[in-house]
Amino acid sequence: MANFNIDSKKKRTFDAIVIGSGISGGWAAKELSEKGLKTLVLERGKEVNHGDYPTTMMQPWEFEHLGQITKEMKDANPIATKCYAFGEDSSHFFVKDAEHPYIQEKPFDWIRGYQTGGKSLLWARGTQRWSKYDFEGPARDGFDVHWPIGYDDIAPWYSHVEIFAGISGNKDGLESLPDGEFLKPHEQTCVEKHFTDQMRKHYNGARPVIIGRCAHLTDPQPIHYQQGRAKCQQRNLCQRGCPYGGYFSSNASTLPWAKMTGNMSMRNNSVVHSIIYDEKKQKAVGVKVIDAISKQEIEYFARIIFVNGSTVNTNIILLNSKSSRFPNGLGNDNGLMGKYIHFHNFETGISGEYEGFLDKKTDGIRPNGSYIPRFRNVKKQETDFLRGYASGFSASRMEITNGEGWGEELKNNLFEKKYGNWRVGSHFMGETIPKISNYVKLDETLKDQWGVPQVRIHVEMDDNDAKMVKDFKEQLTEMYTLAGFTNIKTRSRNSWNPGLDIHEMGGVIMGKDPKTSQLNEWNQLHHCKNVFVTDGACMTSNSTQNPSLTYMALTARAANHAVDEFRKGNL
Amino acid sequence: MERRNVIKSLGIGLLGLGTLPSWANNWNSDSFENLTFANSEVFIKIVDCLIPETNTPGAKSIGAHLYIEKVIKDCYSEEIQNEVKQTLEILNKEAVAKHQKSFEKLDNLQAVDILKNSTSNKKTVEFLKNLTIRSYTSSEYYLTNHKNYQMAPAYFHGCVEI
Repeated sequence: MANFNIDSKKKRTFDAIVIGSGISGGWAAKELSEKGLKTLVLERGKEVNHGDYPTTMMQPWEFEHLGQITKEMKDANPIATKCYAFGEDSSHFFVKDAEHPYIQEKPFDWIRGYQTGGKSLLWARGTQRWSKYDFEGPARDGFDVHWPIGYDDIAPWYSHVEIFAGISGNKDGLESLPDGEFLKPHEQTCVEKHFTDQMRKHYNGARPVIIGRCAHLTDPQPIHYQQGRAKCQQRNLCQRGCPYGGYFSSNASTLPWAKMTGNMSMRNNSVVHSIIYDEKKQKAVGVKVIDAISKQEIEYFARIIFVNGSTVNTNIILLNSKSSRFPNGLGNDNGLMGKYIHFHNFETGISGEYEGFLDKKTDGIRPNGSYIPRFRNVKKQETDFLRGYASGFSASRMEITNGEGWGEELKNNLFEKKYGNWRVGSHFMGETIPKISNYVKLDETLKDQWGVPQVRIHVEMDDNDAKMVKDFKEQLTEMYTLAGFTNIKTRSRNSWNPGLDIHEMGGVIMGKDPKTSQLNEWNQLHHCKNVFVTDGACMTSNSTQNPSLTYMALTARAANHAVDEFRKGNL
Repeated sequence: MERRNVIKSLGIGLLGLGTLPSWANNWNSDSFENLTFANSEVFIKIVDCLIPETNTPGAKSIGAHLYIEKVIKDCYSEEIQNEVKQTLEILNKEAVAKHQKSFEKLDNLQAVDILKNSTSNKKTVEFLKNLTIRSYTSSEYYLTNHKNYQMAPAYFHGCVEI
C-alpha cells in the first residue's frame, strides 16, 4: 500500500506472526519468543489479561438468577447457550450467535470464544496423550489420509508441554494411553475405585478405568510459580477464569511467559482477513488484518506465520488467502482444503446408581473425573464399526434436598442431613472417520461484518457413528451391571449436533502426500513452507482423547522446527 | 428488559453482606420496563408461609420473593408468566372468599392452607414452591450455616465416613 512509509512498515514487521491466542497460539507465541524471535500475536477478540475474570469470586447467591440463563439470552443465542459451560457466570466469554454468523448446510453448533486466550479459558481440561495405535489407526483402517508422524515423533513434545502446563495424573502403565510427566493425581471416589476393581476382575485388565489426566496444578513446581501460578484450589469454577492460574490457560501461562521474554507483542481486536503471498519470493510475507472495532485494514509482515485461529477460522483464513499462484486458497493445490472436517461424537451417555458404600461420602471438590480409555479395536479390528470410543466415569454422592411439606415442616425437612445412593454416570466420546463429504467452504456472496466471506458448514454423522453409539450403550450397560449398579439408563441427546463437542478438527490436514493433504510432518503447508498450521485444523484423524494436549505438543514441535529453519535461513 | 451487569453486583457483594443477596440490595421492581407483574406482596406471603421465619431466618429474610419475581420475569416464557399471574389471582380470590382479606394479608397458616388446597394449577403452585426452595437453599445463610459451603476447599477426599 502506497500510503505507508518505510518506517511504518518496519514497525509492522516481525520475525513471526501468530494468528490466534488460544490454547495452540499461546504455545506458538511462547516457543517462538522464548527462542528469540520477535513475535506478533494477533487476537480477533477483546483483551482479557490474566485476572480479568469479573465473576470469578462471586458466591452462588450473588448471581441474580442463581446461574440460570435469561430467556432473552437463550432466545438470542440458541447455539451458544447449548454449551454446557455457558452460564450466568461465563456468558461473557462466549461469542454470541449474532456476532459472527455462519451458514449451516447441516446442523452444526459452532461454539466460539473470541478473547485473549480464546477457549483455553473455557476448556474441560482433559489431557490424555495419544498412543501409537491412535497415530497408526488411519493407515490400519484404510482412511483416505494417514498421519505423517507417529507416537515417537511427538512423545518428547508431550513431555515438554506437560511439564510447563502442569498435568495431574497417575502413571497407569497403559499401552493405549501412554503415561506423561504427571503431577499428583486426583483421588478416585469409593465407587470409582470399586468400578475400577470390578472391571479389572471381569475383563482381565482389558478395560482399565483410571483417574482422569487433567491440566490442574495439584502440586505446583518451580516452573509453575515462575509463571505466576499457584496450586489449584479445587473450586471447579474454571469456566469463570481462574485467579490462581490453577488450571492451564494461555492467559495464565504461555502468554505472560511470552511477554516476559520481551519479544512478544500482542494486538487484540485483530480479525485476520487473509495471508499475503508474494509471487516473486514464492512465500507468504504477512497478513492482512481488519480491526474488529474500527474496521480499518492494516498489514503486518513476518518471515514465519503460524495459523492458530481455531479449526473453522483457520480454514476460513487460508481459503480466503487467494493469489494468482493460489486461486483456491493458500496452499490449496489439491482442492481438498476445507474437506475432511471431523469431530468427536458426544451424543450419548449412561447413568445409574449404586446402593453400596452407604456409610461413605466424598468431601471437598474435584475438578476432574475418572476415565475409561478406548477398549474397542485398539490393536485389531473386533467389531462391525471402525475405531472406538473413550468414556468418562464419575461416581458421587449428594445430600438430598427434601422438599416435602409446607411451612415449618418444610423448613425442618430442608435442614435434614440425608444422603441418597451413589450416582454414577459416563459420557461418550466417539472417534469419527474423516470424510471428504464433511467440509467447510466460503460462501460466494455473504460476508461477515469485517468483510470476510461467511463460512458454510456441512458436517454429518454416519452409520459408523450410529453403530458405535449402539455398542457403547450395550457395553457400558454390561459394565455397569457387572459392577452391581442399578437403575441403569442410557440416553440419546437428540438436540446434540456436531460442533457441540467443541472438538472440531481437520480441513488443513497433515499427511505425507501433497496430493491428499495440506501440511507436511512439521505442520508446514506443503506448497508454502513458511506457513504453519498447528491448531485443530491440522489433525489427520481425531482418535478418542481430548485433543488440546496434542495441539499443544504439535505446536511446540512445529515452532521449534520453525526456529531451526529460520536460523538456517530456510524460511 | 435490561439484563443487569453482573460486575456491579460483584462490587456490592464484597462490600457488605446482609441477609439479602447482594444483587437484591440494589434492585427494585421499578427498574423494569413493561412492569406488568408487580406482585411483590403476594410473593412475600408465598415464600414466608412456605419457609417461615422461626429462630432461624426464613425465605422472606433471605429475599426469596425478590428472586422469584426476577427469575420469572427474566428466565421464563410469557406462557409460564401468565400461568403464574392467573394462579396468583385465584389464590387471592380464594383468600377473599374464605377469610375476607387479600392473600398477602393472611397469616402464614391460612396462606399455606390456601396454597395446599387451591383449585388453581397445582403445577404452578409446585413451581413457585420449588423456586422458593431453590432460592432458600442457595442463600448465603443456608449454604454457610447448614451446608458447610466452601468456595475453595483446596482438597478432595474420595471416600470418607459420614
